[in-house]
Amino acid sequence: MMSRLFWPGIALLVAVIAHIAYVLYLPRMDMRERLEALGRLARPSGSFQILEGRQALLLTRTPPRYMLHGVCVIEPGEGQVEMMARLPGSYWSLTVYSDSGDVIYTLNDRHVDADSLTVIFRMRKETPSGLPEVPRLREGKLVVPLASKRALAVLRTYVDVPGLRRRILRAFSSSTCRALPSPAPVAGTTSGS
Amino acid sequence: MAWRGGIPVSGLLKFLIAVAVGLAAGYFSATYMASGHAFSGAVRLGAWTAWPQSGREDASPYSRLHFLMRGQLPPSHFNRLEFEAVEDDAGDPLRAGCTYRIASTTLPARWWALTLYPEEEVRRGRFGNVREISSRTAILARDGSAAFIISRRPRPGNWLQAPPEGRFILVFRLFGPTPLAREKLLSRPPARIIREVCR
Repeated sequence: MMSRLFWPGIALLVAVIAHIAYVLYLPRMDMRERLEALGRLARPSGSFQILEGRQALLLTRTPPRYMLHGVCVIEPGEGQVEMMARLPGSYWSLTVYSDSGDVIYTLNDRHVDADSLTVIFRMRKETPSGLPEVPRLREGKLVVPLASKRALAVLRTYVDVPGLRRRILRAFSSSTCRALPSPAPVAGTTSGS
Repeated sequence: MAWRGGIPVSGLLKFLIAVAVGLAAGYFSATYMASGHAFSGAVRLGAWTAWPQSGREDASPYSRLHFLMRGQLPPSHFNRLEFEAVEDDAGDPLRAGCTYRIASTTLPARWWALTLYPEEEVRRGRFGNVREISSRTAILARDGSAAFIISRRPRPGNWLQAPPEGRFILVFRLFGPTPLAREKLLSRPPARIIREVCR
C-alpha cells in the first residue's frame, strides 16, 4: 500500500513546491526584468522617462488608451533619489512599486494642491521604537523610505482631450529624477575621527 | 531489473514522470488560482472579476501573479478599481462576431473608462486596436449610468467597435473611488453584458 503511494506522493510534493515557487518567485523575477528594461530606457537621459505608445507595454500589456505614464527607476543605494514631478491640473496619480511588485506608496491629485511635487526616496532606517519608518513631509518635500533596494515610481495621468496632450507632455517632460549625493558625515561621527 | 550506471531504469523513469507530473500540476494549479477562482483573493461580480486588494503588501500572492502574468503592474487598490470580463452574463466568451449591450450602474468614481482589447493582441503584446470610452466622452443617463453597444458596425450612442475577428476582453477601470464607493462597487457587478445577436 505504502509503496503504491510513494511516487504519487513524490509528484504531490513536487507539485506543492512548484506551485509555491511559481506564485512567490515568478512575480519577483518579472518585476526585476521590468525594472531592468525601464532602467535601460531611462539611462540615456538618466531621468524621468515618459512612456509613449508601445513603451507603455513595459508597465502593462493592456494600457488604457489615453493614459500617459512617466516613470522613475529608483536605486538610492546609500544616498537618495529625488523626483520632482510637474503635475497636470487634471487627474494624476503617483504609485511607487517595490522590486516585488507591491505598492509601497500612492497618492493622487486630491492629496496635493500644487503644480509640482518633490519626493525624496532613500533606504529605510532603524527607528528607536523599532517600528518601520513611514513617509513624512519635510521642508515641503515628501520623504519616502524604501525597504527594497530598487523601486519604481509611476506617474499617471489621463489625457482624453487632444488639446491638453501637448501641455501635459510639456509638464511631464520638465519633471526630473536624479540621484542626490550622500549627505556629508557629521564631524566626529566617522569611525576615523 | 535493468541497470544503467548503477541506477535502476524503472526507478529513474518513475522519478522523472513524478517530477514532470508534479511540475505540470504546480504550474497549472498556480495559473488556475491566478485566473480568479475561489480562495485566490478575486471577487466575481456577474461576468466581471476584480482583485480588490491588489497592490497591497498583504494581498493574496495570486493577485500579484494574476497581474504580472498579464504583463501588468498591480493597480493600487487605493487609486483604482479594475473589473475585467472575458465572457458575457450567460457565461459565453466575448466574441467579435456578436453584438453586445452593456448596461452600467451609476459608477461612484471620479471618472472611469471602459476599454476593449482584442485577446489575440494582448497575448502577442501588441498595442494598437484598443477602443475606449471614458466618463468624459460617454453619453450618460441622468443618474450617471451608461449604456454601451459593442459591434463591428457603427451604432448610435456609446459605441465600441468590436475587432474584426476572435475574442476580446473588456476592462472597466474606475479611478479615485472613495472607500464607501469601493464597498458599493464591490457589492454588485459594475455592468451587465448582454449578448444580442451573433453572425
